[in-house]
Amino acid sequence: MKYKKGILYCNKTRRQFLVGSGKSLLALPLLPSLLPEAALASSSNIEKRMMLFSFDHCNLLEMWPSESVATQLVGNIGIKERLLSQMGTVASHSTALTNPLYEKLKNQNQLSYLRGFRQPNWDGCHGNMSIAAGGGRISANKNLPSIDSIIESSRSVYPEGTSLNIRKALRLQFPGGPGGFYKKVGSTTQYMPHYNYRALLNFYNDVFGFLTANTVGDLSKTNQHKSNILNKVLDAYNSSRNNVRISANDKVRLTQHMDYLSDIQRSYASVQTNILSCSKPNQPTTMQDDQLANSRLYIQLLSTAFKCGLTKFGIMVVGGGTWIPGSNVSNFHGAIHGVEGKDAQLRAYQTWWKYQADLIADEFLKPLDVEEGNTGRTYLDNMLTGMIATGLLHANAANSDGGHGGYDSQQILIGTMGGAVRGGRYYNLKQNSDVRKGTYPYNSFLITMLKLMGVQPSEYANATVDGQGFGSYDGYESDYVYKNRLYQPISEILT
Amino acid sequence: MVAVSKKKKENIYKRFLASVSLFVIILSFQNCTDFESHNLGAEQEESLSGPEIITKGQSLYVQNCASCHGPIDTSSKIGKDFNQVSWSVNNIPQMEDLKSLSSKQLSYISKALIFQSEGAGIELNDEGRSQFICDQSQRSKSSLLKLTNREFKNSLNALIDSFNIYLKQDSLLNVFYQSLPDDTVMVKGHTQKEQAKLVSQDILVGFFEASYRAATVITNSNSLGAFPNTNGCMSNSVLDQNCHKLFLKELMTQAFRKKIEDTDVEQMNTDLWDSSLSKIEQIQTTFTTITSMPEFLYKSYYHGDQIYGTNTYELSSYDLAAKVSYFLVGNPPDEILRGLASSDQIKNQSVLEQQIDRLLNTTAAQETIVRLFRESYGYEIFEAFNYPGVITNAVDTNALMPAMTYELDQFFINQVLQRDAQFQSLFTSTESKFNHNGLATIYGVNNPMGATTQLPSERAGFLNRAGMLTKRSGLQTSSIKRGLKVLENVLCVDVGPPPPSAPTSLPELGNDIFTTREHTFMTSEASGTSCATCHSRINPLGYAFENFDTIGRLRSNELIYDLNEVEIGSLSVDTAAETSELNGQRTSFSNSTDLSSQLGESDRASLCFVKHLKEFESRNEVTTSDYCHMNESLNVLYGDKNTNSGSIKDVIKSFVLSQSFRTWSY
Repeated sequence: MKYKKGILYCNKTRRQFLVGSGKSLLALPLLPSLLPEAALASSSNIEKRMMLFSFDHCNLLEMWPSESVATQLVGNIGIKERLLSQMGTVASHSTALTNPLYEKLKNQNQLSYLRGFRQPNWDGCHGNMSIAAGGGRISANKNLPSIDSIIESSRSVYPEGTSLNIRKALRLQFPGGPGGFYKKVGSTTQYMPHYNYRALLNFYNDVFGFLTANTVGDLSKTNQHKSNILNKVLDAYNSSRNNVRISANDKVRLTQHMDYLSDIQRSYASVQTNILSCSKPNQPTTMQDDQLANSRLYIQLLSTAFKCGLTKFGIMVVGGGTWIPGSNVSNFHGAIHGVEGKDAQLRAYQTWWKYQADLIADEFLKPLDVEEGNTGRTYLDNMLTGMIATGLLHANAANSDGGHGGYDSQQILIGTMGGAVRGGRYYNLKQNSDVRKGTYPYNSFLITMLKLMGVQPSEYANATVDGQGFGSYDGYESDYVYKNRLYQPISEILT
Repeated sequence: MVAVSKKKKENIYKRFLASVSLFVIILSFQNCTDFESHNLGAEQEESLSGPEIITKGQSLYVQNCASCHGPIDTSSKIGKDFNQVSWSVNNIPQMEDLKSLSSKQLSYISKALIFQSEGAGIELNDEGRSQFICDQSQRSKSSLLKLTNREFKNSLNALIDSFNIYLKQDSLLNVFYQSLPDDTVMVKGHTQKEQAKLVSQDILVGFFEASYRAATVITNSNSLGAFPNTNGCMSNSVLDQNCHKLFLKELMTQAFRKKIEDTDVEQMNTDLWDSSLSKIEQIQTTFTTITSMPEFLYKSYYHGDQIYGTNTYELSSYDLAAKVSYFLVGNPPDEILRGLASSDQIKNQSVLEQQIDRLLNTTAAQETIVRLFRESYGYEIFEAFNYPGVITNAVDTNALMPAMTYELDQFFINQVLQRDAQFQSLFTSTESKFNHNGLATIYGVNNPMGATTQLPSERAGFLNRAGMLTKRSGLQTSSIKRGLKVLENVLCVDVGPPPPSAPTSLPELGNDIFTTREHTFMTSEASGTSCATCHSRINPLGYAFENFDTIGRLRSNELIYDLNEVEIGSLSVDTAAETSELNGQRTSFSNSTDLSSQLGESDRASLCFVKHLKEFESRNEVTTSDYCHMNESLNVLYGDKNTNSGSIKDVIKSFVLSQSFRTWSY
């Protein structure tokens, strides 16, 4: 058998490549890397990417519109929605999202609020534990994989042949958070970025080190270069193979070896051939260990990593437990827990969320709010960014003790994952006034995120006790209203 | 704590024995009978050589046993020792007629049966020592061996060094190395062996990405002009084809470890030259392509003069240099070896010997020794390391497991490379080197803080070190695990896995108090089940180590715990036992140092070590075609009437200097 060359230096997008390949693609050996994902129809040819900013001290409903504004039933289980375009400016109903970019995104139907989630037993709304950190586990007690762990180990998201330059999950923490880390492809080495300059530099080198300085790093070109090199290996082998004197068994083994190389070559040629290009970012030059300044630089690098196609998933734990920028409250942590009164609590929250929302808008979202190749959509719209909180504190709830609560929480989504999310809406998933039994399972929100990333149920459900759904299901009552939705994505928010 | 009186213990023991069948009692204690003094027939004094004894025994078996038990090579009695054969003749009515055979004749039959159990292929040499049966007409087959991860990393780094010795420190490159899929495989549950035939897509992706990164590191550096034999042309702003060919020739010579002809370079240049590429892209393409070729990734032998028939060749000088280097130091041939290969001087026996000495004096040889002995004796393999507090309360267990492994790594390095020790010294030396407070506590010595020290006499040899004694955690020691380690790793006896129905832990015996040895004996050897067949071979070797507790501390009494880990008694330990595994004859030993010393003298342990050595080099299970090569090393290990036993280093040297090492066959 003569090894066949793949496409050399093909500048086609993944979509063009797949369409152009037509039936010939079917003639290739069936590799795991070439298996089609059960993707959402409208986004099947767009690289799926997701960034989650997880607010570890939750949310405060007083900062957001009342649940009563959503009046339009969607689906048949009581979920209601309202178009954000019918709710005035974002700044008029949110004290957090005052950056003009959010208004722009609202007008482009790339902003959504989801209200009314419940997570009964996931470490309160120190909710970062449900999605990251903690050794990659939801918690020591539950010993279940977190969403970032699932995604980085998913073969649907990262098929065989994925470049080792890709970081499968970038994990960061904002100062005051409980600790995050990021992990390299195929490596068990964990890194815990700190906010000193040295850690920042390590992060920079590890994520961008392979790009050549002052040149445009084009990941698709890199993959094509690798594909081209492997073609040359196959060619050279073909021209010399008859000179080898080895046993029949060894010939079989060598053929197997070359078959593998041929498969790898095709994987490079076909995986991630969408147009993702970027200039290598400049090395951070600040030599200071200024936490604020370095946090900003981390977020800038995070955004660049997405733009360069160097990761598909990132998570940043936005810690608010011990520190708040721009706050005049001496005891911020106490303030957000209400020990200094409800007014002080609201001010603390508003300041905290606004600071973070502005930072995210300026440093992460804005650089991605440009068209991605010739897809007709921005990077932001092709991916999904979440500002999420697995719980909330009730400033005005009658029986609130100011502690972390797991009921009626609200999530902010930006982008539509290439049109897969019905954006531009305020969704109220709370079916009745009973915040325990009438609010929607947070498990399902995360399952929806996994589905949007193309992760198959078999890749996460096997970690649960009963082999269904994602995460822990402790604490849901037998008469829970959304019992039938525990293991399902929220279809009402999807196209 | 209750001290259990010896009388009470004996009563309990008797009560148990009374509860089992007479048949089991007979089986259990058959070895207590003094069969040697039971003369069953007229002795015929004969003076037979080793091979003659086997032949005689086989002949006697055919005449007296085969009619009932079938041919010897398929007999169910394979492995039966003299005592077992004698007992059967004396007690089984159907064997009444065989009482006419003399003890000597029964001894010959048992030797033939044991010979068969060890695999046909062992004979006695003229000095009565066991050796492999060598058939000069058979030639070892040379399989195509992929570089192991260790060798791949060393080989790629060697190429990078040709540009600049600091480039290999690139952090991302080292991440790629660390990310290579593990290429070791647990073999028979007791050793973790590097695999040279294991090829997977993941491994090849890892190799390729590392090569690509190495090419990036090289092209990003300002060291391109330093690459040898290119006249510095690579530092020019433009790369022309002439320069590319110079680059190719040197790169292929180093990477493929072959003599590269100009025609080879022309062909490769045709394959790789792409005028549309920039200089950087071209160099990156060429470097990555060459280091992804089978000629780089495999240790293969394509050249050499044909000898010994159609498919056997003498290694070319380049192939010999590569084979020696990879075997001894895990590296591709360095500049000196390449030079000697280029001039064919490497084929000169004294030159080769000098190079072996040089290589064995390098740091890289230490890594080879560590791998050789880890793969031989599996001392770095721990089933688990989870001890209850009552065991570890006085021991610092932080990083104890790697400290135990480190101690034995250093032990073998010191013995082989620095002491030039003989094989027996591995089983008798008290030398040690470690730096761990917990290990010092276990040994009852002050922490030597990384210095070489001498341990108490009970630690003589590697078998008495903590790393070998902690193969199962928990409150109780495991004589079975310890015995199995000796039987399988030191004596190369493959007893095979237990049947699927076999329990994974010893059955409970109720509330009576027994030592681990008694418990083990009653529930396996004397259980009246088929377990006894194998456990009668395994367990005695483990009993020798009963003077060490479960974490390896010396003890004279065994503390007995109940299920709640509460201490309920103390019984004295018994380390004396008998075995036929050392030489086929019933041999007694008093304790673990006695056993260890006898193992160091035993032919079977020597045969086993040579087998490990051959398998380590060839990355294949040995076959009869390897026996001639193995015997050469074995004879050095034994020495003879005129020469002392050779050191282990001598054994390794003889292995490389052998003509067998210098040929290849397919």
